[in-house]
Amino acid sequence: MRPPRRPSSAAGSWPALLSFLGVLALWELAARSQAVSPVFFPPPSAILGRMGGQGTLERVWLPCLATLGHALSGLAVGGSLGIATGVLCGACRPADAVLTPFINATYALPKIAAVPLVLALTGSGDLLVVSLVAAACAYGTAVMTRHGMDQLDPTLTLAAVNLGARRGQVLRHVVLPGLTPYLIAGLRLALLESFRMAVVIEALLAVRGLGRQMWISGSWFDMESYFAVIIVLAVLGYASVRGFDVAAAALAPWARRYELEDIR
Amino acid sequence: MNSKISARGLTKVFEDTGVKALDGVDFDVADGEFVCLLGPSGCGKTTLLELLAGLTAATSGEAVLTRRGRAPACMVFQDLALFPWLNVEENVGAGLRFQGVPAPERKRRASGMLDRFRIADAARLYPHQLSGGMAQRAALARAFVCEPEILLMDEPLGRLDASTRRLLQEEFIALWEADRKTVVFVTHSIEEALLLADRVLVMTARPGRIKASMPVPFARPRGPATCRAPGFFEAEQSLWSLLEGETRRTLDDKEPA
Ligand SMILES: Nc1ncnc2c1ncn2[C@@H]1O[C@H](COP(=O)(O)OP(=O)(O)OP(=O)(O)O)[C@@H](O)[C@H]1O
Ligand SMILES: [Mg+2]
Repeated sequence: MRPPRRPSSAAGSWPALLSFLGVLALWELAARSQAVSPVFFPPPSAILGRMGGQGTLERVWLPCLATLGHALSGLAVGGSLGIATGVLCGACRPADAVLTPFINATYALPKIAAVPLVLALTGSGDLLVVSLVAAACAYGTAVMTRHGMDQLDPTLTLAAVNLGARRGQVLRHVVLPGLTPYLIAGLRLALLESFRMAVVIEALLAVRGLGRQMWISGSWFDMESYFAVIIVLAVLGYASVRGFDVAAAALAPWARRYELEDIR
Repeated sequence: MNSKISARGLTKVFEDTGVKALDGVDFDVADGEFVCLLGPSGCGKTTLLELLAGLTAATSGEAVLTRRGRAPACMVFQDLALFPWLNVEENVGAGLRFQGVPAPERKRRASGMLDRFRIADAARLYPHQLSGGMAQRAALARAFVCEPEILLMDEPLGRLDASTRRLLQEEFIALWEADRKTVVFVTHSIEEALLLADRVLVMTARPGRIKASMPVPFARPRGPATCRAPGFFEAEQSLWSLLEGETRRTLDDKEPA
């Protein structure tokens, strides 16, 4: 007997896909009939044509890779930092007393505020983007992890100790799995944050990537390329979150899912 | 007496709330003895088991457990404490895993124990997918598989319906009579205590102390017939008269502010 599996939510994405195609169709019509300015809103067919056409490699796909690299390496660094900080704060009172007020005080500051300082340290380039993405990702995961540490069931720790678990085994077999739902929630938010942050910094400081490309195309009124970048970004965001959810469900098959629909 | 557990003046005050849960608990449990602990709700039974298991520290007094090997005194928790992220088989094998038993042996012993408690069908289910009775059996299997010299059991049959409970009691007696481990077994059921125990300890209302110790005279092997044995009704009555006053005191007692 296998644990019953929920039907994959991919089935639920058909209505979304259909309505998305519907919007594209309306847009196409509006642009072709000149109801909206085709200069600012080129028809989707033209955008698609641009994505396959000359110079797309330099204008869309290489920047796409650069942004992906910025976002994911920032997420890896920032996420690990955030998780480590959260665990440390949850497990050690003095660390909590020092770090938590600091985190709360700086959380509300927009990370853009740190650009001049980080710029001085890293120079303008990939490292700058990755550092700022990492900083943005670290906050959410740290706060989520810290919160998760408070939600751990102390009886489970007692049970593990009673069954002969040593300190390291308690960490590995009780604390880590108990935290997993919080780590998943924190990393999922950080994943989306990482793309937003990467694009903003690329645009702001003209570092290679979709952000800079979007900015350049926009200011040259090359709207086909501009929308091509936006579409690639949307697909990137959607696909990475889907992939994340599939991985999370495979890693934590025990996690219960409550849906409001289930409540009658 | 060859005592396996010896509690001397065990006292526990919870510092955060100032509640005195136990006040000078004294008793001994002999090697291979089955002792049931009866007492009103909140008198400190769970606290006492946790002290015996070494999971919390006593405010004063001490509990000495004599063990031959390294096998721990295994506890079955009142709220079971199954690991939600492990399926039944992995939960049952958890203790062996912590103790470094290699995987094949672990699997063999765990599945043997699943058969013994008749939850082999549920081996791949996670705790939230189990019925109350299945979860209870899984928790029992997890403790038994470690082959501890001492079993500390906190109302292990408490959440079962009356008929499942009766069946499990009978299975449980048979299991225990086969290898006679030292057991401290908390229950709220006088009948269960008389059916299982060699001796019943009755506790006072909080702060808990041992009010009385009553040997159970009925011959083993025990079973459904034991409840009709001569003297069963009288034993039930005398335990209830010990317990009644303490339970009333608990109910009338205002919670400390
Ligand atoms: N961690 C804790 N912190 C503070 N007080 C506690 C704690 N654990 C138990 N207590 C208090 O100690 C007293 C005894 O609790 P305990 O759980 O040992 O009772 P019990 O006899 O097992 O009750 P029940 O039969 O209802 O399970 C109670 O008043 C309870 O409020
Ligand atoms: Mg209790």
